[in-house]
Amino acid sequence: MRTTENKLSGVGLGFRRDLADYFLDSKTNAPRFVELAPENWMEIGGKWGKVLRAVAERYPITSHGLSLSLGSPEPIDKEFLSGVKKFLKSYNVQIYSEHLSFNKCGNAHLYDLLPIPFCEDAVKHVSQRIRETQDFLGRKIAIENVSYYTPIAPEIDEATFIRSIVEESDCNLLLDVNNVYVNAFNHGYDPKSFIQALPLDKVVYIHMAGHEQRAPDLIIDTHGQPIIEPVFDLFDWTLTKIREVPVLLERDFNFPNAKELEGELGRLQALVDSRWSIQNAA
Amino acid sequence: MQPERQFQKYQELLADYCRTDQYHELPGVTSEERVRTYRRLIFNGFDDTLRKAYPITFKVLGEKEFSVLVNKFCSEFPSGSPQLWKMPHDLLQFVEQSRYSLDRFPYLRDLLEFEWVEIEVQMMPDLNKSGDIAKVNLPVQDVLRERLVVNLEHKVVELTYPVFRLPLEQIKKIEGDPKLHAGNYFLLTFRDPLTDKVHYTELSSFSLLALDALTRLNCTGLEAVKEAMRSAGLIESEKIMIEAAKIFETFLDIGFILGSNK
Repeated sequence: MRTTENKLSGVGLGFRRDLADYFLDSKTNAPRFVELAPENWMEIGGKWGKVLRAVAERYPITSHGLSLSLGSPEPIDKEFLSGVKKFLKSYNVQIYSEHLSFNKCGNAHLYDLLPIPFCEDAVKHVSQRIRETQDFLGRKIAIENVSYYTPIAPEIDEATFIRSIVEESDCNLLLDVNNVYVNAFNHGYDPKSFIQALPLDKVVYIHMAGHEQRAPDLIIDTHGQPIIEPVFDLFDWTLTKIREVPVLLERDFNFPNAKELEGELGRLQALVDSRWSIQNAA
Repeated sequence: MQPERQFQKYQELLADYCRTDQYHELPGVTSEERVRTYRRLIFNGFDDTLRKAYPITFKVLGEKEFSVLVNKFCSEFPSGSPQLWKMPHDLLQFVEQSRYSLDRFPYLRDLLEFEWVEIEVQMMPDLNKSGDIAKVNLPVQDVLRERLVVNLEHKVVELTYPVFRLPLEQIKKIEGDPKLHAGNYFLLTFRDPLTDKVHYTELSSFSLLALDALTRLNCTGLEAVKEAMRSAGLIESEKIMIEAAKIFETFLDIGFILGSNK
């Protein structure tokens, strides 16, 4: 249980077990908060339970879920959601977000993010599930725009799909700027126009990450590489369009040394400080 | 649950393809190759997780056979847990329920169980309450007369083959002779409360009964021995009491007995 109450702001870093020593090193001061997936940490004891408690003592925590599967045909898993609710309360989690995708079908979990067809029927279905989730948790959640490699049976465009769901479910938005870049590249649209079409007043959180180009026309959202310049540029531009919110750097594997990691965090923080102090001063 | 709407039917087809590698035509896709990206991501996710969870099984089966196993598992067994770290247990259940290649790999179920129980014990919630323990370093002579606290963060599994102590080459020899090394083996796996390291030790059938009595009955060492003898149909003798004292000495040495109850 956290004993410190820290306001959630600035740039944080996704907590990964491989980086545990870095996070708990007393010399580390770069991440302003950490993000944890409840699925990886619920009810865990032993060494990793102790690490979780030490991290929670030191950092404010956000949670980004992996398996709620908001887009699934089957009912919401209330037993699992109870565990999430308990986790969010235990660690005083200030933002809980999930992916606007599905990863479970026919009661089989697939452990990766599949695209929901962009259509009105899906808007209605997913919105109802988000409302149900928010009612159960007693709080709003943020949904994240995911990267996708092909649409499936689209009837409306992606931005309209996201905006409609946010409006109909009255939820918040986690804007993943790297995912916008990845999708714009893979599907041939302008990322800035896409961002402008989103309900930017509902953005409560931003994700940034690296990706990998696998083919001349295909980028995969891997979270295993540094952020590239065009994504930094898009991020900088995006900051001028929304109010100040926490920003998270996602890195899932292929970890660089602490200096390089803090370099990337520092650059994000500098952009945030520059844009939002201007905005706050204005 | 049957999909109610057309878009859900498409979701079912996509998910099915990702699990079975049987491609279904889907409307509005960029290309079949782009859809294959999802199959690759999902299959690789399963494969990577299972290789990390079962490194010994991977070495024994080899890359090709392991891949065949993972493919069949993905296609036929719905993974039920929302927590990815628990998914390897589904592979164990699949092998058990389907009796997967029992004739070719009779040891497979045991090997998976041995590797899974280490993960399960490592990750299990904290169950021991140090406030219940009066003496942490208990002299052996007190073991039989004190009410003992055992480490609750443990699991005992029963195996047909002693895969936990056989070299890989010996395990593979079982393929040609399923009776080789076959028997009843009991493995105690527990998490050290001080170091959080996971240890395992083989149990005799008598020590299993004594451990069970200690865990169930909140009793003294002597009471646990007597209960074990009763369960085994043994008559009390000095020889058995000496053996039992050795068992408890082992439990103390390895840190499985945490102390005496207040």
